[in-house]
Amino acid sequence: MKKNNYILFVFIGALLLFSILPMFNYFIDKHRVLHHDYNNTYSDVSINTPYLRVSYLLNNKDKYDTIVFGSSRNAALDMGKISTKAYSLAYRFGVTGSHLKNLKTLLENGVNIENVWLGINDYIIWKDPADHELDHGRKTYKSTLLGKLDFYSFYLFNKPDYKDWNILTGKDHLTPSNRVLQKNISNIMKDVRKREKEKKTKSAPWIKKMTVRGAMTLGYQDGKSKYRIDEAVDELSQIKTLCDTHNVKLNIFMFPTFYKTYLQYNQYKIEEFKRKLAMNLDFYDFYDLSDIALNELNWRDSSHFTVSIGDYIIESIQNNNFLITRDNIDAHIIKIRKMIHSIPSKYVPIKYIQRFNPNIDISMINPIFKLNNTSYNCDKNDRFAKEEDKYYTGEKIYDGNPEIVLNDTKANSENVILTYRVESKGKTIFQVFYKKSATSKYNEKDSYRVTLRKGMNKINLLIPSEYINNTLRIDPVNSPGKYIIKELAIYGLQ
Amino acid sequence: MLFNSFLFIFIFLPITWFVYFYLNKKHLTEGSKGFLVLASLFFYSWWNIAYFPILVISMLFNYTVGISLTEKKKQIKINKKVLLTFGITANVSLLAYFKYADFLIENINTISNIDMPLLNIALPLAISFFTFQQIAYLVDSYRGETKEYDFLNYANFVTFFPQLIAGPIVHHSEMMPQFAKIKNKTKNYHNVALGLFIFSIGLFKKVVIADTFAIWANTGFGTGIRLSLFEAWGASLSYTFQLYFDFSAYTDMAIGIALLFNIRLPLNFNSPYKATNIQDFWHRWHITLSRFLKDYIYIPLGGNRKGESRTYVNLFATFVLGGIWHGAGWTFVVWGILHGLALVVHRAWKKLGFKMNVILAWFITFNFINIAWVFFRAKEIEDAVRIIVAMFNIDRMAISKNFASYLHYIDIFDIGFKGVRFGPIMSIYTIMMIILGFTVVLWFKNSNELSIKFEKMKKIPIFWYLFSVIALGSSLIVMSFQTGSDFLYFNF
Repeated sequence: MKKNNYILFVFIGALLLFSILPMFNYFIDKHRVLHHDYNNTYSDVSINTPYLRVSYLLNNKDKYDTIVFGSSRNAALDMGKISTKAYSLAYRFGVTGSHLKNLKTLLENGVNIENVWLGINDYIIWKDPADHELDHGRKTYKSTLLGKLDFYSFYLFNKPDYKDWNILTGKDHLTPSNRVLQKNISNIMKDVRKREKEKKTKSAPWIKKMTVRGAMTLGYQDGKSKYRIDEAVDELSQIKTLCDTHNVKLNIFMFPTFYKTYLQYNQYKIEEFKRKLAMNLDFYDFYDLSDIALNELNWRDSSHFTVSIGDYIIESIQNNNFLITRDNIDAHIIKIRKMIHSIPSKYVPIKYIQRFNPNIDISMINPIFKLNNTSYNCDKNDRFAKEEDKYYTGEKIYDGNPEIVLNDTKANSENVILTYRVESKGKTIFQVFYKKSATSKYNEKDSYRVTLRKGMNKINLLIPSEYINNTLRIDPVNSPGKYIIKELAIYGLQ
Repeated sequence: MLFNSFLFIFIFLPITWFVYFYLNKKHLTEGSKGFLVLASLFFYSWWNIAYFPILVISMLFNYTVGISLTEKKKQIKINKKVLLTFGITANVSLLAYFKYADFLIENINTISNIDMPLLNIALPLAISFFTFQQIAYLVDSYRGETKEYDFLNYANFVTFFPQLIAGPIVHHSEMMPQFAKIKNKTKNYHNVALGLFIFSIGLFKKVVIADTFAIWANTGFGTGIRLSLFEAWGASLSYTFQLYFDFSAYTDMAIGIALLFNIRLPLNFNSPYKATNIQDFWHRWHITLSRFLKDYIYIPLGGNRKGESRTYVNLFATFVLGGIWHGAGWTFVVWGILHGLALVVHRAWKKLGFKMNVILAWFITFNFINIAWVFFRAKEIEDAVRIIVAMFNIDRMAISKNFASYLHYIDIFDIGFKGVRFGPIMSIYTIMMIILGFTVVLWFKNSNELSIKFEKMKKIPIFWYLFSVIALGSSLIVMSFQTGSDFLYFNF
């Protein structure tokens, strides 16, 4: 063959070879979007729930009058209690950016909606909705030609994995699914309610304890996650505007979370979000440290509440309880901050010192020890300042390290929280020495060290009260230099 | 815009090719050259429009200085020397500012214990390549070895998009005449076929081979990971193959694309891992850089004309500078020092008339190169040392758990099986790919040899068709899984 033919043959041959991939993906379609399959799913594969639900609603424009957006927490909301024509357009890790897009698609394409309920989670202030556009289980519905091109190429040129192989070889089969059609939801919820009740009343205590374990932090990385508070508020405001334009009644509510999860997050940021949101629109707030968050029996896991809590949320919204507005947001935040005082007792009994989230305001609890703002030089000859402070005694200096020995400080609660905020010029060590019994001596083994870095450091430590009562020793820094102690305090139960 | 992107392959390249030859067909020669410059600038600016002025200003400046240096009547020699010094200083300053300023500040801070803030300047793409090419042009203009080139030919020499980003480092004398040649203005399907053939090989090497090795190399060189002996070898060999397949892939693609425009780029790789000594390696690896270093650093330093000991110094200095050219960091300096020393040792060895078995010579050369690449890849010297120590630390001789069932009998030698963190650095796939890597680099013909064979064929056998279809088709499939991976030499 001649070289001209070679060019043609190679081009066509390569394109034919390349076309095997989209054909294969179309045939398998494990996320069920290419076949618009509302009825089936493969086990262990996420169908694209938001896409299929939007597509389903576009094909059933008058079937529902209330759309409930949210996340996997919506699974505990009984649509029948909201409205006889309510439909859940929630999905795992649902974020407001995607809800906005979906709502826009529905309203602009003539879907008849009278009410929108929108459940929001703490993670919307750090979870970027753009990530969902790269997620086969969450990519949003597209109405425009370019959007559809992007959407379909995303699925057609997907890299096959072992799951595709299992489907191809017949190891995995389609099974019926009710996720999109949502038939008989109220009956299903009745069964769930019944099971939850049985579990509460009949199960042995150890089974109850097994229900909820550690925190579920949903992609949050302390100090690393980038916050998008303004963006989240803007998205919610756009949803509000969109609803107002189309005469749709909007209820926004913040889901509760289990206290262990709550305590992982930067509550200052969440407060900032709530404040900004309240300045823009009203919302219902269930996100706090009330009994809902503290009682393990209210939780299926450390992120998802039970149907009885779901019922409580729906009733509260219908009765206009927990409504937060620009007028009551400040009082509301102070109320939530006060709830923290019940937290140390939730850790009963701790056997060792633990780090405690420094991004939670615990100043609403009365301190049992407090060192006022102090500026001092740390060298061999300098004494630790604020000697006259009534909250500590017995302070002395040797080996160049200032130290505070809490001779007179006693704790009545089972655990206490030590808060330390210091501005450091360089790297140094904060160290707490404790005695396991009143007669033992301080030693390195029985100590807790935290490395302080240049700049502002904030540390919260949860400490067993027996360490306080056996006389705790605190070494605020271990190297000479200028440090500004902004706060050094210990908080216990009142 | 990456060569290994759909946008480039299916949009940019066909449009540029068709418009270029359409303009030529309509006898708009200057227009076609101008269009090619604009297309190249568009290609360059796709990454970051902010670097567009740097390239354009550098090009205009050097063209002006180059032209001034070639004017014979008006200028006296001393002025030319001043002009050349000025031109080179300006180029080196530009490179120093963007590439070495922060490195210099960091070292000043360390030595003097002061806290000068870093400039945090992003390195403009291809700056090392286009600066070197233009320095060579200025030097040759000063030497009277350049003609008064047309600006568009010069602009194409600097910006020609196939080689703009990562070479080959071309010489004006081999490029500008090609842009001026009338015969090159018409479509040549022989060249198109050859270009497509070489491009397909390059694309396959990049997206299928190099990017696969990249997974293990990146994991192994990730900071803080404690590697076992086998993992350390897996990581270092993975990088050695990744770098070769990545960089030679870029060159293949550049050569292939240039051929579509009837431009022949110089050879840049010639099976470097077949080298049996370090000098041989540098005759095979990044040949156009070696040529530049020889012509514009080694020879001006005196080359081998000033006695044996001075030759050693010149060799060593040339390779230390070569190391620094690659990047602002002590790891590159160490890499340059290692290669400089190896060349000095090789020269002394040759001078003394010693001989070595070819297989042993290859073994030593390859392992030296492999170990030296560890410094080249590592972010810090400590990271490189950590990996090299692990490569020779028998105490850390542990194998991935995946092999436990096949190799259980070796535990009598105290070799343990352990879980591998952060992905399988040394799995069965790594071993298979490393074997494949060795097979390809040692026993297969390289793309240049294949292209010579292809060119000579009057009738192409069916195997070559299938080979090309599979290379191109499978690369397109793999490309569709990727979000686009840069070439390693984009960093230099």
